[in-house]
Amino acid sequence: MTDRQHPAAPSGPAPGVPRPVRTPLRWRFGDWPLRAKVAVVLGIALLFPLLATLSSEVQKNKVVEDLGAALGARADQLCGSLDLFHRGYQSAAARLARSPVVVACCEADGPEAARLFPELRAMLDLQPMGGGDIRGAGILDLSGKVLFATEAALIGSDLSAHAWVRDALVGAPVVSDVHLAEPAVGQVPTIAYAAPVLAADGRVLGLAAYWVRASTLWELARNGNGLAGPGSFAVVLDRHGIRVADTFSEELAPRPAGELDPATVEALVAEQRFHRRTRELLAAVQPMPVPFAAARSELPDRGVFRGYAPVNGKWNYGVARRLQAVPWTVFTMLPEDSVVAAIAAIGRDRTVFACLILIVAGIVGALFSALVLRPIRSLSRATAALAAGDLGARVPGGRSDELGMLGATFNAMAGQIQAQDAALRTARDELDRRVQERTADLARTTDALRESEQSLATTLDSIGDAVIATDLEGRVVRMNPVAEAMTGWPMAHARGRPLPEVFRILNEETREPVESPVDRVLREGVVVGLANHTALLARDGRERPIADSGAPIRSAQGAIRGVVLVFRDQTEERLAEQERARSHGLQLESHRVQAASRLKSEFLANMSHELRTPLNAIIGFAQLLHDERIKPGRPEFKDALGDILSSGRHLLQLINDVLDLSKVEAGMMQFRPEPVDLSLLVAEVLGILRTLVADKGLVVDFHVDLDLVGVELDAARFKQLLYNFVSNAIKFTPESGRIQVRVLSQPDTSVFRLEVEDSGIGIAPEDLPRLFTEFQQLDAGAGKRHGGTGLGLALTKRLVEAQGGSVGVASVPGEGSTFHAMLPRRSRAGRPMPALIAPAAAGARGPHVLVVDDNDRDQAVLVRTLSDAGYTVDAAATGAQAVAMCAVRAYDAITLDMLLPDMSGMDVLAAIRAGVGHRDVPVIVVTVVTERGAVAGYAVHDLLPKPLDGDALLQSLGRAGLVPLRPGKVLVVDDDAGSRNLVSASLTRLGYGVVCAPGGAEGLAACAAETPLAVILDLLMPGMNGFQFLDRFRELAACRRVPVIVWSAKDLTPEEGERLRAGVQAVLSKDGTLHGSVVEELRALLAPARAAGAALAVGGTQAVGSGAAS
Amino acid sequence: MTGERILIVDDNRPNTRLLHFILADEGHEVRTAHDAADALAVLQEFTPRLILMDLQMPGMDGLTLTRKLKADPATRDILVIAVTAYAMKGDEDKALAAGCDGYISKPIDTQALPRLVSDCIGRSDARGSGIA
Repeated sequence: MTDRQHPAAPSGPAPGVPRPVRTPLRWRFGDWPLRAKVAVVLGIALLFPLLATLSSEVQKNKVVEDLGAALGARADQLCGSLDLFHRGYQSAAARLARSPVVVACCEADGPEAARLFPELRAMLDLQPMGGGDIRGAGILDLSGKVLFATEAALIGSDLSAHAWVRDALVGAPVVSDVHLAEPAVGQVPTIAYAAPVLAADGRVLGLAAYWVRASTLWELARNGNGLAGPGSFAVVLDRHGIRVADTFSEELAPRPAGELDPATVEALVAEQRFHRRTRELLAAVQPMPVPFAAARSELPDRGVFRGYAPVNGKWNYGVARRLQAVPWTVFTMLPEDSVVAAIAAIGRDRTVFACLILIVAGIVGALFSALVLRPIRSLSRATAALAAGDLGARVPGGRSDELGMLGATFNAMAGQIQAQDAALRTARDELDRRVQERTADLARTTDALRESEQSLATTLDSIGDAVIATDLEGRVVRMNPVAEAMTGWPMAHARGRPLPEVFRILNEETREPVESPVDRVLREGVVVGLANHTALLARDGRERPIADSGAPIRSAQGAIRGVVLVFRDQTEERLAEQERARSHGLQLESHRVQAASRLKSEFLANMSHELRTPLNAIIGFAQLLHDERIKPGRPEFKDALGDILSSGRHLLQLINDVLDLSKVEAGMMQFRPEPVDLSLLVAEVLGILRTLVADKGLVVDFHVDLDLVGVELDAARFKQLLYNFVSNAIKFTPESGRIQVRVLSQPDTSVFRLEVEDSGIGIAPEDLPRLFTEFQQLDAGAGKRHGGTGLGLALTKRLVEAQGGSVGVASVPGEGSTFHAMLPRRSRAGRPMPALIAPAAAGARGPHVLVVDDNDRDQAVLVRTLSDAGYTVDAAATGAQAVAMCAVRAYDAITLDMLLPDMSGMDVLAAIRAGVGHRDVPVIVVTVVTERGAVAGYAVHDLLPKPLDGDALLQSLGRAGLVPLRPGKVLVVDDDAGSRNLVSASLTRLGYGVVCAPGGAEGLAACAAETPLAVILDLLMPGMNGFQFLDRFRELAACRRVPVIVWSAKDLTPEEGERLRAGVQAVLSKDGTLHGSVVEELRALLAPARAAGAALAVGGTQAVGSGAAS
Repeated sequence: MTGERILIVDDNRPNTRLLHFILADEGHEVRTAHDAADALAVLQEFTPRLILMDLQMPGMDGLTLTRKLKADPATRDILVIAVTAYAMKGDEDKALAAGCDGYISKPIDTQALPRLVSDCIGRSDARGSGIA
């Protein structure tokens, strides 16, 4: 055993010793007297004027900086206008020197030159340059002698002393300094702009010059006086520091701005710059407030300088800038006092403002002290009084600030103390009173108990229900008179007997005795409400329906002492109930009949309306045409026919929809499930709608889940469903919107889901329930009515439900709607059918062309052009798609857009050519980029511009030796001339030959003469009908493999359907299919290999144009 | 009776073209509107003697539009003839109750229409001049 560690001595003070009180720091600000705090705050306020003074110094520097910028801008502006001035005359002089007359004048001898003078004078008079600014113009020879001048007095004088003449004769254009003109023409301050006159071989022949008055410079400078601030001015000095312009003096004489060095003076005197007065003028220095040296430096400092100006007798701030055309310097300046005065004013304002703040702060402090201290003192007095026992002590109120609230709180606290004191007294009194009351109550209760027993007996005797009380063993203790009557036992005999001896309770329906209510109450110890439909069997064997209930009788301690049972005779109620039920049933039935009849008549009224509307146009226009009120040839004629046609089509659609609807209603609709490829069906429907899509510039995507295989359904009904959904989406989607068709597999593998999502106008939530109801076309927001019969969605719903599926819609108004249908993967109707026998007319297909174009519209045009001409066409919207399609099929030709979203056209071409079988395929580039250069180096069969000329494309394919094959003719067997003509016209337009036969016998005769390419066959015909024709037709050896399309109004029995499917390639119903669809079907049959091309695109985004491949 | 100003209100384009042709052929000055809002806009600057009114239209229907026009003092005197494909029993009464001055069921008789229009205008003129 180890020694226990002795616990460490406690570090704190021993118990009992008081802990030292921590004295608060003496100089905490919070402990200062109020007076001291106010003083500190005022002291801080005093710092403001000091800071203001300091900041005005900073401000001054900033002002000087801004000033530099303003002066600089003004100087730059002046430099700009002076440069413009010089350059204008420089180029004028250069033009003069180049003019042929001047060159001729210089090249000629004296007398010859004189002959040119009139021409020169005329030319210079005709060229007034700058109005009165030009003093004159002249031409000098190589020696500096004036050959010609507009001022005649100058002709012949020698100007070779001037530096500018010497410089110009060296061969460079020159701007002279300001000098005085020759005495002969008045000593005007002048600037000469000279340019050398050159011979054709580049020799200098002389020079041409303009003399311009220097006074113009002064005017230019003066225009901007004061622009950089009040009193601002500008000075312009030449390269020697001689003032050539300023903005304040009227005097136009050039003066040096500082002392010139002797060498400069001598050079200028030699040049006779100011003639005889040169030395005198150069000595008359007029000092300028500028860094004189800056004017003669290479490049003046761009910063702000400060200098004294005798001109205004002040110190000035200024900046210097150098001209570009000549080495002159511009100085702009602003008197210092106008700047400093502004800064001083700011400082003064701040000081005054700070003093005002100080005074206001003092007054506020005094007021604050008076306002705060007085109430605190009164609070302190009241507290002392309360502590002394004066419960009525209060603080005077009336204030709403914090001190007021403190006072109010104090008052409330004092009030509470007072109230509690009073409450204590009251409670004591109340307790005394209650003790007395309880004593009196007890006496009363004893009396009440006695009365209660009495009244219970009376109640039981007079009550309308049977009441039986038992003890714990279930023996009768008490019965009221009703119970005696109901059971047939007098109370005296029944008392003490077990219940089952007195009566029994049966289930009315099963006739079985039910569990005794007493047993249940005893077992469960709770109130039991027994079920109805029980009957009580009395001693005399009478049975009556009862409602019964039981409850335990408990002692005051809660122990069960017995059971009380209550029975109500239900005979009357039961009879009344039966009566009620019967009449309610009748009422319901009558409502149902009424509702059905109302729906029927509403439907009829709507039907009547919908039928009459198109009939109005049909009959009306037909009547007008019949009466020849609209004559052929008038523009209305074609419009009228168009309206009749469109109204007629609308009517047909309506009738078809109604017939379908009634078939579904009657359960007569027959579904023919067959294994289908969903992607092909979707592509087919989108193909039918592609014109509508293209017209509105919509984008349609579709996606089919890859695992959706082995689906069996009625293809025609699925197409009808999809057609209704998509055409609905097209109607309600604004231009360049987007529609997405999705066919999705579901977790429940027995179904799949079709979704059509649009980016249209959406549907308000309150309209959703009406959507699938007959004749409930919703209004579009713009009040525009959309075409359609108002039956499409209702029909769709019925059709889908009849196949064991469901439809629904979700929508966000303004964003779009999503319609969906949930369909069984194996339709329940009928057994799967054998697939159509493969058509054998392979020889009939045209050359196979792949169209590659990402633009829906262009693609649709290409596909339509080519397929109409008889080619077999596949389409791809992206380069990758095109390359993939080429990998599985050998195409006879390819049309290629150069601008594809994913790859360049050239890359696509290269990839295709690299593949097997396409090394030499003719590729026709169809693109907006039409330069041949764009396809240089690539083997391209042809290059066609967009927008596409269809004939050019067909001719190009013809040149490649790809001519569509159209051997043989299509035989149309139909007794209805209208149907024959319609189909025949459409086929002829597509380039097919057509043979028509009005009956089976004639049809067979035609086949004997020439084997048809395909047959379109009606079934109901007088004489030999379609079935008979078919049997005989297939017996002909040559016709065994010719495709046949049945197009008939006959409703087929299952046997007939079976019979036809064995022998024909397609069965189309006349009441569901327009002749255009029959032609489409025929074209599809004659180009069998195309279907696979469309299947390639499944799973990705596919442009609608490729729907044509169906 | 020719040269009257007539407004056709119908949302079905072939039908407006049909009525327009017949009436314009008779020498009337004809305007068309394709729904109630359109019609009210046309009425701002074109006061017709008579309106041929389709009853079933998207948005405000023809009966409501008629009631509106008949309640407005500015348009109360314009004659309104209902031209409708509602040709069941009671439809005519409904149209007249709404304030229509006449009722023609579709399909219309192109030969009788001009006569019906001039009869309606004639009756109204007779009432206006106190002869009837």
